Amino acid sequence: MPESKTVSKNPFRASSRKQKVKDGLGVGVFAIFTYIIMACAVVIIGKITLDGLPVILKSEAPFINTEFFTKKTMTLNQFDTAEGEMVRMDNDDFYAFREKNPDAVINNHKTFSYAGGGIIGPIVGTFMLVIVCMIVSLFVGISAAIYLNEYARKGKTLNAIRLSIMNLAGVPSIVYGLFGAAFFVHSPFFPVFTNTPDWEKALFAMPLWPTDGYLSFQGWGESLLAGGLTLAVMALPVIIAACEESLKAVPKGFREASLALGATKWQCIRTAVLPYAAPGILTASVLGITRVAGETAPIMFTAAVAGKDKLPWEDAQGTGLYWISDMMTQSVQALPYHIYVVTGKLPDDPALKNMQYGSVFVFLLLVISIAMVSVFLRARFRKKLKW
Amino acid sequence: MAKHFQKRGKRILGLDKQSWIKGFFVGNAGISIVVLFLICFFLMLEALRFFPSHHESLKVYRQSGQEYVGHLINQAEGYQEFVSFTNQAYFAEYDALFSKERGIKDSWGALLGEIEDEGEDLAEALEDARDEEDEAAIAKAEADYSAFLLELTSEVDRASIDSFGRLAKHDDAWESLLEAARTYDPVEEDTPEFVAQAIKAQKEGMSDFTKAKNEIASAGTTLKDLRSKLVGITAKIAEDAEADKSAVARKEAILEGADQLEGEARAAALEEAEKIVIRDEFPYGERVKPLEEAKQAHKDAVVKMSAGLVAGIENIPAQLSSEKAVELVAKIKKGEERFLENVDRSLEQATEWKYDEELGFWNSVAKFFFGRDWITNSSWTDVYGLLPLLQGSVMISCIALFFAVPLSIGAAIYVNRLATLKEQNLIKPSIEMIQAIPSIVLGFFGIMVLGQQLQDWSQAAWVPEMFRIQDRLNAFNAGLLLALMAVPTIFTLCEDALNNVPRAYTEASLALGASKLQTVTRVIVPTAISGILAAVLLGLGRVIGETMVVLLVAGNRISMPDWGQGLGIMMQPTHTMTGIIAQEMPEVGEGTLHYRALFLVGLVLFTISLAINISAQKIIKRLGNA
Amino acid sequence: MNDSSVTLDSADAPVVAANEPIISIDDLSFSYDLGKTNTLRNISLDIPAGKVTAFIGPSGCGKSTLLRCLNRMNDLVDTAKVTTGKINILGQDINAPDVEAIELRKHIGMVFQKYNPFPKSIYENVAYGLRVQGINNKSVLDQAVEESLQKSALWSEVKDRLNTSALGLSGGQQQRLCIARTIAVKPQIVLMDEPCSALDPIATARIEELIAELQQDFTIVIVTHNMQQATRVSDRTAFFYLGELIEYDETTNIFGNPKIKQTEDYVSGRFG
Repeated sequence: MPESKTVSKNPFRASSRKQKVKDGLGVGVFAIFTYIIMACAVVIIGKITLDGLPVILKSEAPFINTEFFTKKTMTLNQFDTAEGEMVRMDNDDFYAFREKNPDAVINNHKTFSYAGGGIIGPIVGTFMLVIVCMIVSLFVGISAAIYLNEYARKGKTLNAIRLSIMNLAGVPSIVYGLFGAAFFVHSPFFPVFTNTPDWEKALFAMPLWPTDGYLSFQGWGESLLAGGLTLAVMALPVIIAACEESLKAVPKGFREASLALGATKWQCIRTAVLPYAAPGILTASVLGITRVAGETAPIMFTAAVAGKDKLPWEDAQGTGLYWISDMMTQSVQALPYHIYVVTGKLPDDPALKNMQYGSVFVFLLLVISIAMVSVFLRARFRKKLKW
Repeated sequence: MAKHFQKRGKRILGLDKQSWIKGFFVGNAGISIVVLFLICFFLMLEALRFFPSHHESLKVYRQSGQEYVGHLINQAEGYQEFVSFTNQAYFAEYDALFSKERGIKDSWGALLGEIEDEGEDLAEALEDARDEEDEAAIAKAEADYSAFLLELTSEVDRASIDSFGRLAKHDDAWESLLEAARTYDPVEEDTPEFVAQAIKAQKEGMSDFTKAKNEIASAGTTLKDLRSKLVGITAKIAEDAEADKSAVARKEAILEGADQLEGEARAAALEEAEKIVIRDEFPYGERVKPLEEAKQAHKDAVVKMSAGLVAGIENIPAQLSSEKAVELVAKIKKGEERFLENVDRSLEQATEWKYDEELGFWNSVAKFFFGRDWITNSSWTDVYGLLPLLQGSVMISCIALFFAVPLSIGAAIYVNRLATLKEQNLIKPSIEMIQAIPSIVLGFFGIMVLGQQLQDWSQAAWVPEMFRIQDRLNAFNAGLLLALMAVPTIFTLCEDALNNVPRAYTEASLALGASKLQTVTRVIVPTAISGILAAVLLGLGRVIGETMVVLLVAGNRISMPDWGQGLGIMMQPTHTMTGIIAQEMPEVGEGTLHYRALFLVGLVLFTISLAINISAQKIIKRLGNA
Repeated sequence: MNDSSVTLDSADAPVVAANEPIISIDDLSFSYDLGKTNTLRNISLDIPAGKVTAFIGPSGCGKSTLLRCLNRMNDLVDTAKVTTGKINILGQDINAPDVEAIELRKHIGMVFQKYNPFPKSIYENVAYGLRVQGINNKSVLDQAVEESLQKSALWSEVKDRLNTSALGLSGGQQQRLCIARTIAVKPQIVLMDEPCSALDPIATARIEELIAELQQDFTIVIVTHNMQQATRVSDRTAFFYLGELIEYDETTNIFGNPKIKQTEDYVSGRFG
């Protein structure tokens, strides 16, 4: 091919157009894939924000619909007035209205359970569940990680334990729910302080002199404790793995230097390891919260109920230990379950839209902000991690 | 001398402070490990107890004769399908041939109804007047009535009378109907000539088909009757057998209660306790005698039914003008042979049924793992078969991975190797945000937005018929959302795998004059392939174990897919293993067979996810070392 | 079509007569941080065709950086920048806007400090450079692979296991494979970045023999901090110190009769 032999001045000019086009196309396809994913996220979050934001905002000061955050969930009433205008009212407003205007014409009266009022119940429930979960899982998880990384003898057993922990991180959340139902809810090994033991269920009940109550081994039933602990079990593998990672990141030299100076094992851990691992452990705990706060399946059969008139502490009976025990064995509402109830279990109706989008938006905001904190913390931690 | 190096400090219970601290950590590690074992233990405990209970219930199913009747029910229900198909074909043909005639007939009926409703008083007045033979009154009543008719016919709503629009193209027929209505006499109540003709014409035109249809319908009635009779008998047997099991306990409870009563109440209670028969064994043999006796009748009914079906199908007119009817009849003919074979086989099985035949334990295992039905809360018998749920989970996972795998691998390659630093700093946190979106929120989006949107899009002209979406909530919708859930998992792990490819490979490739893309496709991806595969597997694990999205969006219909529809099955509602647990668990009592069945499904899920995790680790280990 | 598919992209380059400068660097300054500090400062030197030129100097003197400027491998660092000066190769300014780094690298091969064969078969490693140029003709590839492996003195050792993984070879063999991979695309210039630093003395000796042979076909630029190696393999030597070119001359002069004190101190082992 003589024409290709023409000697150019620049031997390094771009020679094959074909390859260049191919490259451009390839890179373009990968870029498009990436931005498709981003677009999906934007569409979903955008749609929920667009429809959810108006629910929690108001046109006059304080510009936030405080009622939505402070009222309990209740039934929503929808009816037509004599003028044919459609009105929606929460149950309490509705009864007040009926009392005031007993003769008011009400046509096409419809009620929607759980779709009125606010979401204080679900919010409080979710927070309490997460708190119970975090207290337990952080305490156990961090200690277990310290043991595995600092004390345990390296070997096959340790590897087997690590492997099983890793594997459990991949177990579906619904399976944790089943476990929680069988173990924390139904099995009678867990004690409650109560004045009125459930003799049918209880293994045995120990009278607690001088009060007239008992320590009754009757299981926790669907409750805050059962749900919180189920979540804790689920968060445990994540927290152990993440804590171990941050403990491993502390250079061996720190420990050796500390021990060589005559520190005991615990002094070494306390002064030469934990301070440097602390940011990582903090990140791990936030990561753990992110994992469990958004979950619905594990609390479906262990803690959550569709509707409840009272917050856990309002409903608790007794005093002292009995009061705490009663509060912790209450079932609660939880935001994700509430969303499931108002979207999945109720028939589709425009009247529900406010409650649906409002709760979803609040929930999304909550979970995403926790996630942001964890991303931020991790980024900082990684940057700092240069000894 | 050595005193200097001895341990110092206070000892509590013979242990020093360091040992106590260590013990504390050991204890906590122990707790977490014990909990992990407890998970397996409790799952197994509930799940494995399913099999004995299931075996027991299958045994009762056989002994009480429900197994026998089950065959009969299947036959009758299978036949019912033919009856309904024939009916549909009949009416399709009817509509095609005699749409106008039917329109005339129905519209006339509807018109009359309206006339009689509204003109009741006037008609009575007319009748009274005629009875009294008062000329003037008759004239007035007639005038009133025809005025009423005139007004009614002028105001009548054509759409509500001719509600199927059969006369939409036949204005002349409509006009003559109105005309006839205007001269309608409520006392004589005669039918206009052309209406009578229309009725006659359609009757004659359809006579062959009518005969065939009736033949098919009537052939099945004997079996149907037999079915309802035997269902009642066996249900009672099963109930009594169940009651027998608790007889001793009930008797004791009543006697105990009676001790606290006095006088008449006590006597009544004692009498009631006396009535409870306690026997070692429930006399199934005696109780199922009616079934044994019914066997001949059953056989006869089936023979009659089969013969009727064959004859009826033969009698269906060969020439049909409705396309739908032709289609249906073809379907009927196609199904005929198989149905007859099935009926014969099931009749054989039914005849061979013996209440006291041994039932192997493996039956309870096989019926669960290979069962094609999952029926609960039914009036007949509950069936626990894993297959429909398993296939639903697998199908949704396949859809999800089909979309998630290319997207996330592509994105990982882009971010890791091709994107600018700025893009990386935008994309990575965004994908982590996606990971944070709770599944319930995605499910919500699927139910509120995506379902409707997909359905609308699927109606576009270029979409093949089989992909037209009927139900808003279906496997495809759920699969798309799960794809988005799998993306962050696959993306992150893929990116890690790509990151682990040594920089030296990139440099060597670039130094040889390869472009960035060539370097990626020829060196980096092949090197990272084990990590990428593991990422895909772990993505699968995430998808198959996901609950809320499928519970809300998959449509929750339990059925084996109809593979005849090809890929169209993606557009159908389905149910999944995770979904069934979430849906049914809150409704079942602790310790029941159903409860344990759900735990067994959970155990299957657990095993699958474990297997996926372990194989992902194996892949990384094996290929990673090569 | 068949004909063009076997034409290597490096085939149409102008031929430079032996001993004429093939690379000429003119007042080059280079920075890794967008010009804030210069890693290389005002370097000018001409590298003759068909010779072996060694860059020596203590760690961090910029010799590897300069080498990586020659095939623009520094493009991989986002903040890298040529602040002043020019590099002309084959008469073309390689930092000109119409120069494609990819094309440039097809003419200038590079062998790295740590041997880095791809985790592919031996055959595929050698064929890689040809394949990325779109040459997939089996017989052409076979021929090129054999030729390159023979030139790099590896053929007799691996000819029976061309399809086994390259990672199964010994370190020295892997490095020779990397050289074979580099010369398979027939570059005019081969850059070697301390090619023996990860090898034992015996493997090093074989590589050095190989360099001497390759000299007939290629212009070789080698970075080394082993001064004996420089004396053994190179015709000319450039001594760098703290990002500057201190002295550049015939190797015998640099080691036997350095003109500048720093060079003398370095080659006699007084620092470095």
